[in-house]
Amino acid sequence: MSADQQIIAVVGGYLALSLFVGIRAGKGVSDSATGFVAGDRAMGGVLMYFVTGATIFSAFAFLGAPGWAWSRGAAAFHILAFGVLGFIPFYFIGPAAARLGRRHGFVTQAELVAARLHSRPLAVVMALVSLLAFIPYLALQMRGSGHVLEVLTRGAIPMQWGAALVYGVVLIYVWRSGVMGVGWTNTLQGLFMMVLAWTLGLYLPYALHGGVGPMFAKIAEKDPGFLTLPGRTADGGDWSWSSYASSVFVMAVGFSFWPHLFQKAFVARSERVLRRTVVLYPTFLFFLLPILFIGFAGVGFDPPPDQADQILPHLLLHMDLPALVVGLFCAGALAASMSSGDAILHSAASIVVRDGWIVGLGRPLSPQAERHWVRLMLLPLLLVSYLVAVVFPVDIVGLLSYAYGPVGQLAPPVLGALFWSRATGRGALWGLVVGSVVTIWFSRFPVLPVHAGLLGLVANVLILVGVSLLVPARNSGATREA
Amino acid sequence: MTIRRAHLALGLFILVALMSLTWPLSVCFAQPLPLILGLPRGLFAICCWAAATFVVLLVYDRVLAKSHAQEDV
Repeated sequence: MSADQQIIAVVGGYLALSLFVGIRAGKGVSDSATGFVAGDRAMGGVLMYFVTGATIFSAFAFLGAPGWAWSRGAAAFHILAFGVLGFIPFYFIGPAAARLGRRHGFVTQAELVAARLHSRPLAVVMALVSLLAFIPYLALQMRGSGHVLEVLTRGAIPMQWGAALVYGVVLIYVWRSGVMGVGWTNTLQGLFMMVLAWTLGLYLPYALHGGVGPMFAKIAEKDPGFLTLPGRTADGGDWSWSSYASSVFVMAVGFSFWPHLFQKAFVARSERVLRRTVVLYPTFLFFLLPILFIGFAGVGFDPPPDQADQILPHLLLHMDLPALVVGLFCAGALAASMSSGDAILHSAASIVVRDGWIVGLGRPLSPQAERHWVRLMLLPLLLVSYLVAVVFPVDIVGLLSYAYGPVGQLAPPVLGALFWSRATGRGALWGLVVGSVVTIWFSRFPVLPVHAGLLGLVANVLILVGVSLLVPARNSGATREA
Repeated sequence: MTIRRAHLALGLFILVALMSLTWPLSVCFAQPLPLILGLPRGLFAICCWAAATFVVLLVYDRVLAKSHAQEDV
């Protein structure tokens, strides 16, 4: 068996196992929308831990994080810093959202906020912001999986075919099992990624430098500034303290409000399970530690990769490793891509139907019809993302950097809806719109050495508070019964 | 103020306190040497921070669960 055939066999085995687990996961779940989107609100602690952990750590974690460590040194530590803090707000908002979800049948973030603030347009705008972030994010996961397959099989599986194959598997298990398919495959993928990350993260520094300690000692001796916080910028200059700290702050604030992650509040069996998930979450960050070791192991490697995020496949290809090891890495990269892609796809489809059709347009559907339409929406969303990923030459990373900013702006309307009784739909809507525009504008035309999202958040909160206090709500007599 | 509200306020205080550590952590552990356990000081500090956050959340969660139980009684 040739090396390429061995790699394809390992990847094929991994995809078959994911498919088996994903299809089996749907057994015993009701055939309603709540069953498909929220797993009948019965997910336990272990599944919640891996769903939230593996969902966040996408192809970026496996390819982007080593790239940051290799090219920007200590700046990569900020990924751990925001990850440690990012889920803490969920300790408070998660149980509050879950309670309301159980009482009123909510399954999406925008639906909850729109009902609390009596504003249908707000649901539509929040859904649009979510989709604008989701499609390039999903396209990036697809391109990442196709690219890894193409590079490591030396062109035997072209990128287009690889992405289609991997996301064909995702489509089948999400279609069949909904959120439970996402949950059980994420558990498998999370465990697989952890084992692989630690194996490669210890093996590569040992093979290239004689161990983790000697590796850092060598880098520190050659270029002490490389390991000094806050690290470097993409073009090799010094990253500023304010940029480092504001990036951690903005990423941490936005973390819990990613719609596909927030939706997990409606999935958990109990509030206790939700709180425990948040408490345990910082432990998942230790999975990222060896991922950074991999990037640092590549410092000084000759020849260097063309792009920073190619450092890991580049090292594997140039180190003459056994095909089985390369195949396992390939499967690990696919696990990272799929564990985020499936959750995003599932969430995007439910958002289109629930927030766009049912809440936004005011067209109710029966639970069975809703599940049917959520399933059907998986197809166009996957197709659009696939076209963005492999057919149209769009700069996805550039697109994503614009899409990321507005997602953090979902925090003020959600917090206002849950914890501030004087927040109004108008205030939340205008705050979200202005905050998103400010974020995109200052991402494009930076004026201060801080993350653009911070400026967006300031504008967002000011508008939310100002409009809510000064402009009377249209339905000022309505109460917060929802 | 109810016990639940008091705990919400305490939780927010913990969150703000943890977040505000970003800056001093970055500054205090900026020196590249000496390395601790083979890790750069900054990385070691963030790992300790992650472990401490886990412990703080665990203790907070235990206390919260106990007082919620008392309040419900």
